[in-house]
Amino acid sequence: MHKGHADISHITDEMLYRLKFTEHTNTVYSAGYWDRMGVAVPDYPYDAPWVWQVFEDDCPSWVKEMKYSFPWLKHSSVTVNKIMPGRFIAPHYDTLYKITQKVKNENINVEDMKTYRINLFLQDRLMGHYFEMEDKTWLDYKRGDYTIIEPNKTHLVANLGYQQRFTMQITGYANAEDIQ
Amino acid sequence: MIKYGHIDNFGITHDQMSQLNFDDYFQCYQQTPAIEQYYTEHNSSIWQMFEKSPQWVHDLSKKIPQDFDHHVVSVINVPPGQTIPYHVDKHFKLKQMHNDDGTGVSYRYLIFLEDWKRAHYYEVHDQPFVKWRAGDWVKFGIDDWHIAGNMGEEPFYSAQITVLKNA
Repeated sequence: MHKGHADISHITDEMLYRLKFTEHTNTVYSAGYWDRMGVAVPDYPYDAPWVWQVFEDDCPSWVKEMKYSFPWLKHSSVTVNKIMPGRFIAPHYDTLYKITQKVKNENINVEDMKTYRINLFLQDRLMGHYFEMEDKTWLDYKRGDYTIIEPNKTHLVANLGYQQRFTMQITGYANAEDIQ
Repeated sequence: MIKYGHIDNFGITHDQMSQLNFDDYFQCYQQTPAIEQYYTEHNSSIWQMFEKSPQWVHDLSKKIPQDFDHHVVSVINVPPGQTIPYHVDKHFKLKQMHNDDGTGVSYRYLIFLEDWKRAHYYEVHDQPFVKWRAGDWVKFGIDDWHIAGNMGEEPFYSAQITVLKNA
């Protein structure tokens, strides 16, 4: 698992808790993951597989400006995820639909580059907060730590604790040798 | 005081797990205001079996360190999507059966009945524990806050041997 760190000392808990989230998404179908795996959709309780999200256009400037901390990631866009206690995003891999559509619609040349998603932890790990990718876990991350989620890498996140869980996703294109 | 260990030659099979006949499905403890706010019967309910557990569950009590005078057993199935939220154990059944006068010290041995599966999770005293092997155990006390959860697609089975050392 790739591990890096960015300076986010300017981001406070108050800024996180004041964020307005515009979409509340049920992840039970995991973007077709279960279908592709050939297994039945798990019988998750209705209350469990939910995530709050806010996307690029609706994000405040301090969120959008985080893109500049990762100049090697080109044509990027940001989202922030909030997972409430008792909720999780079930195992899945990212379709990266929005970024691929953006590149297509704007006719951007991304030849020789691949899509990558930076998962930036906005808090120290708190009790019950969990990240797992390809059966590997990161159990002691600190705020500002980040990992890179590549397409087709199965991952899941969860909040089994009692405090809200915030992460930022910065998705774009890069050459593998440029990743930091 | 958290201790970790392993039962060698564990030998419990998936078929034995599948044949467990749970009849008690209930919502977990809610011991803090935050837990009351966020956890409902819909995301924090589990299956559990106590004295009626099959003999192989009772026999697990002979395979852990024999540092106790009395014990009770149970087996838990956390279904996909369910969490046992942040809580401490009351050791209610142990006290009911063996400790009327409140003396002695009690602990719980949590025994993982199958190898770790993706999205199965356990944490005690702020220490996450994953990637376990069948037969791994964790011993913890009555003041140790802990959680367990299953975000995967298969049931998460564990046994509990709650023990009492006389004063």
